[in-house]
Amino acid sequence: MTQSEKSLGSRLAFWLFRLPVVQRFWSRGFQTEAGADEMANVPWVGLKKPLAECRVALVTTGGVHLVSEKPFDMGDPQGDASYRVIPSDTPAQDLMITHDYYDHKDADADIDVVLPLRVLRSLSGEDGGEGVIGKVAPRHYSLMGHMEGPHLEKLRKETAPEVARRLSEDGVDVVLFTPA
Amino acid sequence: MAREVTAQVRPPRTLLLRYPFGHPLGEPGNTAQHRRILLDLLDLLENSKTPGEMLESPYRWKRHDFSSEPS
Repeated sequence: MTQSEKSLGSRLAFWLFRLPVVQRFWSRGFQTEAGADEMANVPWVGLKKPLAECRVALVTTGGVHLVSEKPFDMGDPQGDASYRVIPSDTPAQDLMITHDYYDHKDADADIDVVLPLRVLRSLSGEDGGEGVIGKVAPRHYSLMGHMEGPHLEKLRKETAPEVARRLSEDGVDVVLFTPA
Repeated sequence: MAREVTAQVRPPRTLLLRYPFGHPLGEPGNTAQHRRILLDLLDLLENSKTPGEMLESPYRWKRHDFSSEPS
């Protein structure tokens, strides 16, 4: 497949996915009856200290990455289980989205729609913020939320544990997860 | 759909929004909305004691007026 054909295919998929009927069809495979069994053994810990003393990080599956970085792989129909690091002080104009499996037109216009870094900074106790939270973590993490087959295994066994380890190393108390 | 998918992931606590997919914080440029949703999420974090709780947000897409919120 040539680059232009791939690009055309991606554009077509993008426009098709904007149709509600296509979204519903795509989502059908994920639908189940959620029962008490599925919610049993949910991993849960309460806050260990006041929110105003907590360090907070963001994790998104919205395919956000630095403009200067390698994009997520749109050539593999089974997806991409890698992750990208987003330093806390990254200006919005240095971020972009590579993710052909959701309509990110609005998030392209305002990255806070999927990665609310600017608002999180305004809630921190630093740099004249409101002090609702203690600090914004130095690094945030982004994945591209379309994964199937072997990529799911990589997500479970490599990517997710590595991101969790790095968040822990940064002394993060709270992670806010934004799916997209 | 969001509730069913979320249940499979089993997150510790969730704020569910009836917004179009790809808009977890809401509309572009609506900082007051983004702030309100983050504050609601942090409030859930502080106050929820039920593992797996999924709280449904009352804000309707493009119908709720966030203009009284600081932005």
